[in-house]
Amino acid sequence: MKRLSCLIAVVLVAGIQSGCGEMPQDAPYQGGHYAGKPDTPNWQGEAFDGKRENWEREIKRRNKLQSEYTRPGGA
Amino acid sequence: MARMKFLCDAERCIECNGCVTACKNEHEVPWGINRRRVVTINDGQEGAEKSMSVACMHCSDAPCMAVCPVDCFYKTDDGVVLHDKDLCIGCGYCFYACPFGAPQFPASNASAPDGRSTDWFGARGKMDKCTFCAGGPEENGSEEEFAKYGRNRLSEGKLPVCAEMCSTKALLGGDGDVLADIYRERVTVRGKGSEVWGWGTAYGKPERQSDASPAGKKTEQAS
Repeated sequence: MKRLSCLIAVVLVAGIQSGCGEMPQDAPYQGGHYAGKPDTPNWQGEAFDGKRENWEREIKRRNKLQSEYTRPGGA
Repeated sequence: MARMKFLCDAERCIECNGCVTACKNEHEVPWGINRRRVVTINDGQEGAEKSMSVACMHCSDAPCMAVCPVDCFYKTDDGVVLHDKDLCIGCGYCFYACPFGAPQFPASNASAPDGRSTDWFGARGKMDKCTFCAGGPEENGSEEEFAKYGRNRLSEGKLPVCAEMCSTKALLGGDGDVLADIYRERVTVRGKGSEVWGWGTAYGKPERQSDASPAGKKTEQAS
């Protein structure tokens, strides 16, 4: 009987103490990698002779047209 | 290398919804999907009503990319956030992650421009969002690209149609640095707006003379 009580006490103490331990619960963030089809860059077309500089020049020109202060006849 | 961004000037937006209409028309977006929308606050309150055009902001650190379980998002060299619809499973995580409500899911019985049903996956369908008029991972300018993502204006050397069609030029689209220059110039001319918190960080004095400054006119830059 004494033996059984001791065994129960040991199991209980171990069980209670196990509740005090804490495992890390933060999942480490791992950035994913794009898994889809590759895309063709916008500048790779006949319109710009496949040159990025040509495309960027045209985009920059359009960009600046959005300002009335620089448009011909603007404020 | 350009960093493509949108900028909406709430002082200029007149809630005409021209940007929304232009987007819908250009990409033949089906019913139930709003790649762009105009949000109005303090509606009807004189002097306090403000409107702003909202779509995907092509975030530098996009939360949609972080939460996508199938990694269908990618960012182009120009900072445009796009996705592969063939990979999308329509889980909706990106919708919950996006602070702008940009990801859209087709309603039941929606259809692509060529008549095909877009109910590709369950009730939610494949996610659809603003592409900055840059199409998607299909051949540039192809019919397939148009059917899935809409027109690819960037590959034609054009900017997003919503910004180019904006009648008051409230909505600007393009290289973030150029947009910041244009906006800084406006606020300087306006004489108010640069006192708000965070102005210096966002639009502080440029290191170089603005490309958007009036020719021959030196203006005082906002501090």
